[in-house]
Amino acid sequence: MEIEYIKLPVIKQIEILNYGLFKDNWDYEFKKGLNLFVGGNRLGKTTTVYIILYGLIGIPRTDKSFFTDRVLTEKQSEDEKPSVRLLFDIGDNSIEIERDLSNSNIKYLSINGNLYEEDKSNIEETYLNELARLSGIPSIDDYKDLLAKLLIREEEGTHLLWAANDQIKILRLLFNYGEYASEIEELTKSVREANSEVRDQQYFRSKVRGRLDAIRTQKAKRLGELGQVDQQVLEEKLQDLVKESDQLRDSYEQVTKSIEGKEPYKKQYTQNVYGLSNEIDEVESEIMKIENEYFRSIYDDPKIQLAGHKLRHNRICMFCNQKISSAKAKDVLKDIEDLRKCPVCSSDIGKSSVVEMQADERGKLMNSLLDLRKKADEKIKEHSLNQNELDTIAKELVQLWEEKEALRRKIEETVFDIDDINLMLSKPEMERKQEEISHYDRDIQALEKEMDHWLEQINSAREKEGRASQELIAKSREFDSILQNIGSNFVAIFKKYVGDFFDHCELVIRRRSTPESRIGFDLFIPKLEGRERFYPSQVSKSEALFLDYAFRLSLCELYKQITGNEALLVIETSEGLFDMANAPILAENISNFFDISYLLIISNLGRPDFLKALVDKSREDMSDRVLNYFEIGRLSQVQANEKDRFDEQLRKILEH
Amino acid sequence: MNNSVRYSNIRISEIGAINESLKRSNEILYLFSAANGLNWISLSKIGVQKCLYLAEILSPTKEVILAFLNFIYHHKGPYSKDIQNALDYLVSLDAIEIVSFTTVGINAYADYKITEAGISLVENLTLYPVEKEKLLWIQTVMKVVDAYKDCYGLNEKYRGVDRIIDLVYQEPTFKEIRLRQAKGEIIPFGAENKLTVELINFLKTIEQELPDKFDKNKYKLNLETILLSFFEYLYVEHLSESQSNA
Repeated sequence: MEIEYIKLPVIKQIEILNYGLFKDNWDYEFKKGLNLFVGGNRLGKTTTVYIILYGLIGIPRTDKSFFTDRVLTEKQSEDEKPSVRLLFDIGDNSIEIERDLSNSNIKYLSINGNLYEEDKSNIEETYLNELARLSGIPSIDDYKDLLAKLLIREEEGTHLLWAANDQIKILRLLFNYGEYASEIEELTKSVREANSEVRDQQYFRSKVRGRLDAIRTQKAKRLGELGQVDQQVLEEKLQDLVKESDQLRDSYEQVTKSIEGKEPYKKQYTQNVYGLSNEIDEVESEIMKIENEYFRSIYDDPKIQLAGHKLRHNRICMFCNQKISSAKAKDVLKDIEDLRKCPVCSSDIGKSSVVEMQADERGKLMNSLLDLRKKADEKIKEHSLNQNELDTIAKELVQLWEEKEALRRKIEETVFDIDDINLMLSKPEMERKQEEISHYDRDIQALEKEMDHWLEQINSAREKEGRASQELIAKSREFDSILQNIGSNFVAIFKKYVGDFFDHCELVIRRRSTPESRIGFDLFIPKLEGRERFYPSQVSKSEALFLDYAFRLSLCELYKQITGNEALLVIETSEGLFDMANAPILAENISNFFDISYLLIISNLGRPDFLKALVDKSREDMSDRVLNYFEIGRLSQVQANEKDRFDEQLRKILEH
Repeated sequence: MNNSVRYSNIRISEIGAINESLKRSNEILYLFSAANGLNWISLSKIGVQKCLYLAEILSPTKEVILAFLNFIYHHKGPYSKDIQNALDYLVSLDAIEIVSFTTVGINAYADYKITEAGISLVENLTLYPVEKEKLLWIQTVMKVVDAYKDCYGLNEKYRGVDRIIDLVYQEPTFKEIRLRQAKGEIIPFGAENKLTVELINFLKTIEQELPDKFDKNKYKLNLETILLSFFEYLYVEHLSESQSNA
């Protein structure tokens, strides 16, 4: 298969007009071999790199204002607007382009002598199409990557050697037929898309699974609740309840019977108590009557009262009203009280018949009183016994009534329970519950179906992903063989550029995967002192820079070797990082490229020894190969004061 | 069998009223008989009221049933006009005689003592065992009153037995009414007089209530010790009240 290699631009000339950073317009013609742009800080070295990139593809390195902020300091007419003019070759084709720096408009375009000026609005598109056609790079992004990542390296640029994605892309663009890279990109993209499709569908399926799990849980819960739906269990429970209900009813009847049995006793004792109370009242009132009679008979003894009273207080006889002596009265009173003599006739009555009779009478009263008292006490005792019995029975009855009430409530509860179970056992109710469960089942079935659907989708997406991966792998393997072919050659070239910098350094091919694709690609990895360095952090900063320079130079040389095409390689060096011993070695290694192609080294005057070594290695006359920024730039006061010293230094460097 | 059951079913008839009034006279005679037995010279109107009040209100101690008396909160403690009527009746019968009589303004002060005829009446009345029991009860109460009437700290304004006014003032049922200043209120007796009955019941069961304080080997609870405990309680209450008033 004949490979159509891409053609890189070889910039022949640059002209910068009306740009405020520089005090004058300037132009420079690039020569094969070493070209040197030298200057101090802030004089426009890095800007020059950006302007070259911008002039070629019209896409600013950073934001657009990078240029405009510096330019539009004063009013400028259309002709006075800042612009860059580039003259460059692509293969045998010569292109001249002028681009406005304040906007990205192309002001002038000539390809192989054909002037494009009729349709300004379309000119950008025309230019890019021609660029793609002539260079064999269909994508402007690829073109930009080639320029920015390989050919034009600014001071703070990235390491091509360790940026796996960039290295893959650049290698494929350089050493494969032109469409290969975009094919790989397409394939990678489709693998990525297939992969994300799989993920999406897995996500959807997981959502469905979530719903399915929820419904299954609900069903299980509901089934737990409807555990009693089991007819067998329900019927057993119903039987138990009926049995319990019967037992309760029996107990209820028994209690009712015992209440009925006890009620007559209660009635009887109540009657007894009332009857006895009345009897006691009667006896008591009888007693009172007799007591009254008894007490009266004592208080109302008329003989004693009347005779005694008159004699005691007035010493007067009750019959003749004659006053007698107090001694006589005392004696008489004594006799009366003792009831020995009649107060009237003084006859000796002793225990006379009257008194005897009274005593007899009282005795009788006393006897009947005592009898009645005895009777009353008996009645009271009986009353008390009856009352106790009544209290006991009343207490028992209260207990029985409470028991009866409790039983009644329990019976009511069982009746309700039985009704509930009967309702549950009735057909419509059972059907309703079955329906509820089957409703869940239907949902579950539908969701399961949906799950299956998503599984199919996932599987087909996986298949797609697999296919895309396979294709990608196949494609990448194609290149792997190419890489193997060029590999040994490349390693040899790389060794030349590494030179004496390391004791042992070589480049090895290792398979690495990129973040975008899980497919492994073969890539170059530096091996220092027996250890492979997969990351720039595994080497020192100067080593990393050195290896990266060598890698670029080697690539460009190999490119020329294979394709016969040349390119302008721009390197803004950071030689300040290198020590006194290593800076000349760096210069020497770079000088290997002088015979290969166009090389632009942009540097400051930080390390005159480095520049001196570079210049010394160039066998050409350097007088027209140097651009001095001190001549074109707007110098600060300090820089202006030192200009003579800078010039002197530069002159020394350039002396062969 | 307690009072409330007995009384609740009795119809207050004319016979009943006469019976009550006769029994009241009997009890006054027993009071004077007991005072005579204690060699007291006489008993004043106030003394009769207070002693009978104590005998009546403490009657649940022995479960003896005395005649029904209506005591009210009078300006000198519990007072029953029935007692004064019965006293006048007994004087008219010459069973009680007036030893001295003075009037200060509208207030009449009189001292009484029992006569030979009165003593003879008591002898006859107490042939009836129910009455004998009442006499014994009143004699017991009077014995305790005799023991306390000369105690230190009782009101010096009164003489002899009248000084127990201070103790009557501490009697729980009356004290409750006194502290409410409910003059003219009828003092409840029997089952209604809960405070006094509670105290009496506590004193009766003191053996069970305070087993660690009461030495059964040294003391034996009888009617007199219960009464003495009760009076001791009244006396201590009086002393603490007069101390806090001072």
